[in-house]
Amino acid sequence: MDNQIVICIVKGGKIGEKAVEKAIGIAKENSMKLIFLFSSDTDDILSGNFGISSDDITSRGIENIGKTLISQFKDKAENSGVKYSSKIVGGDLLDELRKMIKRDDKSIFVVPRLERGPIEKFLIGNSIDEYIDKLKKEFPLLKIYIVDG
Amino acid sequence: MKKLIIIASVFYLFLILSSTSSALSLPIQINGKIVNAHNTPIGSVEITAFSGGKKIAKTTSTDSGFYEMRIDNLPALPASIKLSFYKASYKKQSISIDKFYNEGNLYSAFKNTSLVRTAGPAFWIALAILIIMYVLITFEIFHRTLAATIGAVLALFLSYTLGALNPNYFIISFDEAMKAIDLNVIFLLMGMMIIVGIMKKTGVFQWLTYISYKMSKGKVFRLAAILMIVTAITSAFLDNVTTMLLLTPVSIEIALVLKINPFSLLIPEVMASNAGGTATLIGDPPNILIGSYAHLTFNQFLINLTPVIVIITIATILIMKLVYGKEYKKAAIGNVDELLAKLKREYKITDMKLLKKSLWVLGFVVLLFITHGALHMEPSIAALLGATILLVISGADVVEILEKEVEWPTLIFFMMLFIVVGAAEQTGIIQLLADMVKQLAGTSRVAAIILIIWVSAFASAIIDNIPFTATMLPVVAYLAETIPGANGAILWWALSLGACLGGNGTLIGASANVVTAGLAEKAGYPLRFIEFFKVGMPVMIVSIIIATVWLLIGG
Repeated sequence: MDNQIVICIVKGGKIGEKAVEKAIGIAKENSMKLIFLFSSDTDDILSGNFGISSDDITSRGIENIGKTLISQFKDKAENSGVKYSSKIVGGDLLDELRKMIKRDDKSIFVVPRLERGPIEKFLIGNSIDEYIDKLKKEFPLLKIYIVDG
Repeated sequence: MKKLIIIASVFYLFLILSSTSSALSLPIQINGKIVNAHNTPIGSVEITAFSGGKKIAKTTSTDSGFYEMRIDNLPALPASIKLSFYKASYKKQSISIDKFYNEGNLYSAFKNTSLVRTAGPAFWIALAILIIMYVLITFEIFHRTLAATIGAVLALFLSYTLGALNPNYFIISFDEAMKAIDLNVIFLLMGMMIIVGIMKKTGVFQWLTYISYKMSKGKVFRLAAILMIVTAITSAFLDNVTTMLLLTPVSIEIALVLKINPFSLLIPEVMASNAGGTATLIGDPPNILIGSYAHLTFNQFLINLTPVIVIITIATILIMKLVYGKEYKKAAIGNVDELLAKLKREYKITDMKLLKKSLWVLGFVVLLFITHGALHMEPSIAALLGATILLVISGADVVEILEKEVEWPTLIFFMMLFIVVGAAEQTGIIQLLADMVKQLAGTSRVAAIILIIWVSAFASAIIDNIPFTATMLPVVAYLAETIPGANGAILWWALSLGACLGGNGTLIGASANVVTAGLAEKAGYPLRFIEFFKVGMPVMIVSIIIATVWLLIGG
């Protein structure tokens, strides 16, 4: 199972914690390696209605958030005896996933899905569901666990 | 014979003299001013003079409404001259002039006139364009720049196609559209974007957050209060979106380490950002629009608005203590020094030399802002000068700065918006709106203040405050002229306070709110509309109450 990994999208809050616990559980059960993945890309938020290009300073700030979250979650992985690594990516999340997993990979993807009302979806857009649909098409063997609130 | 020759010569001389004096020896000059029902001068009015049913001269009024017409070579001074006045969106009018004054070298007449609006096809088309633009922006169907561009281009295109076939469809001319663009606003925004764009590379804004944490000595409410003050002061000079972009990630990081809800720091900061931006001429785009239109100086904003904003910020801090007090007490402040060391490491000043240069330039620009009224200099000149100096002395890559730090979509949005509002003015929509507001306010200064500040606040909580403010500028100008006791700047302060503070009312009230929500969601903390509303709306109402009292007691 060398090519099988558990990728957990790192987010803060209770849903993020739940997702990490789920990912650790799966990794431990299947003796798989766990990757904490955090996206610091801000283009999805800024380029839409603000016309602001991704700012290095803001991206670095978001990266620091990712590092803080990962440092908080890695203790859980260590305590469970799960092998883990972390990755903070600045580009498009889908592109990064394509680099990490192959088409025939039976890897597992754990995604926290944040609770959003219609106004929030409308304002901020970029729902995780769009990513999941694309992932399912490109990686048919990829197992996706969505963790809701 | 001799007698016959003399008689013939005299007769011949008489014939020559009479033929030359049959043309009027003195020209006729007619002057006047053309205004509308609001006493606003009307430019580009076509004035045609007729005598005996024949067209004898034509001219056009200037932007200040004045016209001058010179008529030469009439056979005699006519009993009367008929003047016909025409401009699209106005009723055609004719007047007769039958009194001319002999001034020695010419005959003159002076005739002022007032034209009455008509709600023709141009009016309805311009109204539809304005409403559609608002809808496109409010519901984010298109990017706001595209929405405004659609409106502006449509108004111009229809004027030169349908308007060419039938003048009743003529909305706005290209010249009028260009005159509607307030370049002072555009260049002021551009200059400040460049200065801030260079300055932020030094890391100074995030460093301020680290300093805020240091000053709080681990006390979380004190931290929130200091962050709010820092945010408010920063927003008074930078735009609110940039302020929150820079401060939000650090604030989230601090909240994560302290194990508190990040909203207990973020929401107070964004409230302070919207309030702080109201304090100065350059803090928020509505203020830039108001300052430029009403010729209000940087100092006037400081004197009239900064004190009330200080009071509002203090009130907001106290409200935040009520709302998030329990959250602050939950904070895990186990190792203040460790977090301090982490923040110091991550958020240090990365280029001290550049920071010093930037601060010198910013100080110089602020000094120019303070003196721009006395110098009769537009504030955009100060901003551009500062930007130019900083570009030169910083060695920054001009192309990179212009590409990445100048928000061209925002500048183009403003330009197109000015054209759309200009079209609304030309077709009488703004005049109609002004009349409606005037009817509500009557002759009461107090009613006008309350109406403007409260309507602006609630409108800004729902729709983008920039197009709202741009539309309200001529309306408030009219009210300031016609309501007794309102001829100072008080109604402008009402508009500024309402339009800027209204941004705190809902999540969609200000771009800074949405950007903060987006970044918080990135970190895994989705900010729901209702969650923001429960805090933002009470803050907005309290702020507007304070601002109303401030204005009514004479500010």
